[in-house]
Amino acid sequence: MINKHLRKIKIIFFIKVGFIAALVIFFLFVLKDNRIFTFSNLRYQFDYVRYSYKASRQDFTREPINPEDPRRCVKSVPVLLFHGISGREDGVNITQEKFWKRMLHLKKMGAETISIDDFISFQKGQKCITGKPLLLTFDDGRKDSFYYTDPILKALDYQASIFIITSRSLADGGSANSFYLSENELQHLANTNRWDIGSHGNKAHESEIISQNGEMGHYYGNKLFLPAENRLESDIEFFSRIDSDFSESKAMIESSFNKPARSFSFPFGDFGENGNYGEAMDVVLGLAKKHYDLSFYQFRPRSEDGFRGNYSSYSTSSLAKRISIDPSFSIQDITQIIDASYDIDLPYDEEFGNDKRWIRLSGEVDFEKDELIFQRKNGLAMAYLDGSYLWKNYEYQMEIGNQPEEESISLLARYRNNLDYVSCQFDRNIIRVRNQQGGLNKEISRAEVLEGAYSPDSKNTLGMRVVKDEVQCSINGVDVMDTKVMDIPRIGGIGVKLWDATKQEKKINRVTSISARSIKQIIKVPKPADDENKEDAVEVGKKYLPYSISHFNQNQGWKKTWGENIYIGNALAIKAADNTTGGSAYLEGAENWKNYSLRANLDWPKGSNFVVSVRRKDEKNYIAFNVGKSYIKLEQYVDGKRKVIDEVANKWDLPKKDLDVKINIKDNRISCFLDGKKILSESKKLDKSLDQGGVGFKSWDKKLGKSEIIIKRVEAVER
Amino acid sequence: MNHQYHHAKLGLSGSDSRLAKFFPYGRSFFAFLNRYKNKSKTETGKAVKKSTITHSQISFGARDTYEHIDSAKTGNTPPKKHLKRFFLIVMFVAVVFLIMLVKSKTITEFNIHPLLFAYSICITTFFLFRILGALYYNASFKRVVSPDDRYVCEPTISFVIPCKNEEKNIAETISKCFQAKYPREKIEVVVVNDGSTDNTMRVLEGIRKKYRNFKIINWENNRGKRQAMVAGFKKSSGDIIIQLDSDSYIYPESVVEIVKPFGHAEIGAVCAHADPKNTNDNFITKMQAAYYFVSFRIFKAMESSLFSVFCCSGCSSAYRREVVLPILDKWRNEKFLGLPVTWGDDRSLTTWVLKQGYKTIYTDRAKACTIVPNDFKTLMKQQLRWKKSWIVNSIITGRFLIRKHPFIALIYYFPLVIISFFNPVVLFFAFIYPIIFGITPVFYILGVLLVTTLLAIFYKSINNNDNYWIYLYPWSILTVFILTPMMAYAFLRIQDRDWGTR
Repeated sequence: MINKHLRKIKIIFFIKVGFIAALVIFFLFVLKDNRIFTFSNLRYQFDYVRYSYKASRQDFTREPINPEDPRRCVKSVPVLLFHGISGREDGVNITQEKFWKRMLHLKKMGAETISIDDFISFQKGQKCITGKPLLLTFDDGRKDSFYYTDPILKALDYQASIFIITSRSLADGGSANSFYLSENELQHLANTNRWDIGSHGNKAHESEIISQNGEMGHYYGNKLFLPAENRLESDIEFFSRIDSDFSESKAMIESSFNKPARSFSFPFGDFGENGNYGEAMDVVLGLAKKHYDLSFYQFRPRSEDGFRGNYSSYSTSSLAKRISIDPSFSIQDITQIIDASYDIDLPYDEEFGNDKRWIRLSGEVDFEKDELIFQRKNGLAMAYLDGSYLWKNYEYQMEIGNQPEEESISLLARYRNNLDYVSCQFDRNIIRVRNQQGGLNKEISRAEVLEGAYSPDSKNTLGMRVVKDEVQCSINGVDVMDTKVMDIPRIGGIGVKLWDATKQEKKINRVTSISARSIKQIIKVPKPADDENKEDAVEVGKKYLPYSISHFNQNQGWKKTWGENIYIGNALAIKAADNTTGGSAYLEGAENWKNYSLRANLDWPKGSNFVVSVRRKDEKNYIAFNVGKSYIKLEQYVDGKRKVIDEVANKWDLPKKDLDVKINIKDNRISCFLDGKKILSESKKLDKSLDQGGVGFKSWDKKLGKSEIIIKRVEAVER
Repeated sequence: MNHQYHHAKLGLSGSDSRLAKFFPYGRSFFAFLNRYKNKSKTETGKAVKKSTITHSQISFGARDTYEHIDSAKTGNTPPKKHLKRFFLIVMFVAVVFLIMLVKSKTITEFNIHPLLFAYSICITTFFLFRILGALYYNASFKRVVSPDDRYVCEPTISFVIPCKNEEKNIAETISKCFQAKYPREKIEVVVVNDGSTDNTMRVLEGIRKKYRNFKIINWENNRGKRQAMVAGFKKSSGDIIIQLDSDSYIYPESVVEIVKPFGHAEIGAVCAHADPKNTNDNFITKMQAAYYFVSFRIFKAMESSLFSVFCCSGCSSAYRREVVLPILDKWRNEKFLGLPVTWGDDRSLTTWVLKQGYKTIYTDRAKACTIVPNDFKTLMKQQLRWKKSWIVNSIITGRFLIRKHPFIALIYYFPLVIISFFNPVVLFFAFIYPIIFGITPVFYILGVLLVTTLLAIFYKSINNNDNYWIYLYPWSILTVFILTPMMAYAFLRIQDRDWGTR
């Protein structure tokens, strides 16, 4: 009996073992690549609930970011680099809780994150971004950069970009790594729509041998040493190595995620400035530009000098700087860094708030009540105003306390960085204009101060004005110097430098007021004989290329021809009156513009059509780019007679806000873009009589009083 | 030899269905479903019970107790208990799932070697099989002793108790033997005084006056436990020889239970369920209580469902005389690597029984108790002895098992041997090695805790009377840190044949 039963039990046990083994194998393989039942994911979900709850208890209703103008397009966007999150804080990584506090603070101060695509469009000047935009980035594609941060980003409705080392994350599935995100995880990350994936090089995050002695160096910055042949790489080998690394990592990302890889960040922030190959930087930057729309390098705000933000349209290179946020930074530090990195408009009056826009280069610079205090160190105190990078033609004054005998006070203008700026140097009895160019300082001219014009023992108001290449220095409102400076930076901000040749310590000087205003129209009698100056001649009412406007008001030459024109904030709304089907306006004084590229940023809240006209001679002669809900037409009006040159169906899903319109016109060729996409392109069909003319806008709808467009920004450059 | 006892009749009477036999939990679930439906059935059940009582009046009175236990298992259980069982099953499944999860993570996070992966699969499979195999114990045991057996065999029994310097415990042990709920004339006790230097002999002399059928073998010099057992076995006359340690006894009411399985001629040895007598001494004894329960009720029970318990514990096991006597001399003179084997007598004797082609089983109905070490040092010595005996016997057993019972060898015994031998190595690579390199072996610790939880759930589902299951956790920590490395040490000290505790 027992033996019979034992046989049965054997069968059952055999089946059971097989069943359990199958179950174990099945589960192991199923669970191996599962994302749901992982410690990281369970922790992630828990964190998300936790931070969502915390976020829900926060009050994010805040003061409008810019009370006068919520719709102002910023001209500078800061990019932040966070290194990593770990349980213990070290020199590079911060704790999750600290990261949360930082993000929460950013949210509270009104910052909103943008995507990398938006940033690239912004950088190229194609997109208007309002508010306090911010680009968050993480390097290396580490697991913690996603699992610890994403619950926080999700809870705060933020987004970020991550730069992955493709050889570590994507090669062979990259699944067997506990530190870097696997392809599977990255796929999930990409699907959240909160993350953009960029490249951080393929094999470039390794250190390689770069000399016979076995010194180690970065992959991009140096020629590698080839031990087999006992020599360094040749130029061509260097070039092809870098080129293939860029293209390989790009191809890997694109094939994995089916999205273009547009951005790149240099491993270690090194693009060859300090390597063993002098031309490394040119080669690397050139190749980076070839493969990627945008490359990032690191910028350490404590130790490096420069404007923190990335300024739109003026950065011709495809390089952008990322502010490296060190774990040691306090929340106040970060607030100041971010606040200071947005551009400031003229006119500017220093309110001596504690926003630390004044970036110290040397000595001590501090705010105290209503003063800016300079304290020299090694005889020098120097600071510049962050956010003033795009200032062009302006004058500014500052009230400064008594000047010690040995001290010379310099007002800086067109300040771009420590190496490039012009200055008015005020000594007790001599005023000089100096030009610092590429680090070399040159005196341009000097003048003696007239008796009684300047009393250094009391407060004085010193002033400086730069218009084109003309520099003026003034004391207490009286011009004391006026000179032309060659090779002057076209744009740049303001700064102050106090210098004491005898290097006495602990001298304090106080600046009690600073104000700057822009000089847009200068009345100047043209000198016909002087060819060089002809270009600079400016007439009242006439508009010259390049033309740019983002603050609209009644006095800037925009004339209403139909319907209503209303100025809202800094924008111009062109709308239908109650008894008209549309409204229109044009720019007066632009009639002799010829070949130009017009770009406009507008909102299109109401109406079936809007029209952007170029080569506008008068009411009856112009070329109209007519954008309708269902069609887009290019029309020309000659003496009031309409002729359609080209027409396409409107198959594009155009946004209602921040629509970007661009029209290039040169001779008899015209091409029109909407939101960066080419819509129409025609040549030779334009009427010969329409060879020059300005710009205008129109809104239209069948019904009365139903159409409106809001022009926020108009720019035109010569072609 | 006279076989006066009948072979028990096997039957399925009283159980719900064939299927339910193999699903102990499912069985009670069916019972739960049929709770109201079966009212008519219970009446017939009563009739059966009545007849058993009349029968048991002749032989012994303990039957009622077990009848009661059986009815608790199969009959009307309160819904609360079912709810609890259901909860435990859910817990069990959840923990199994978590174990898989942890396993799968160790694979992905450490880029595991294929061989190690295979090992990992095997060990998980084996462990789960071992635990789930224990679920079959009841179904399997009923094939040997059905609760409804009306034919009870009552052969003569002999208790053989080797002792040395046990003046304190021996009297109680002997009196418990004579108190057994068993026909008094069929009980015999043989005590072997193996060269005691204290008053043991005087105590024994005192006892001799009280009981008939009490035999003493008195040796002036200590000859060793094996020798004492052989002499005792030879001197005894019972058909069933129950071997006890001097400090252990079988509860008088359950002596009959250890005899019952011998109704089947194939059964050569039966192991009783032993619990520590001195559980409440301290932390160490409580830990052992939990461990004893698990190793008897889970691991031995699993072996028992294959009718091959590999170690009928020395503290309370019964052997069939006709099976044991022929092998006694071979067993006494057993050698390993040229030296006589002093420890592991019980394991070795069981091996010999199995080798003869007889079955060995474990019964959870015969309850015994023994004294366990209550200080750490003694415990460690005992464990080291057990480990050595395991090493020696696994090799001896393995040699014949593969020929005689290839199925059991392949499916159970060899994996067990391989795993227990490899454990120290795996422990080093999965636990010690990461620690050296500054990594916390989270997965290993988690794995150990989860497996312990699995055992704890099992414990709780069978034994609801105490809460010692919680001591399984410190015990598993002890296992990881000391007992597993001890296996490696046992290998090194295998030629040291010293007993240790005595």
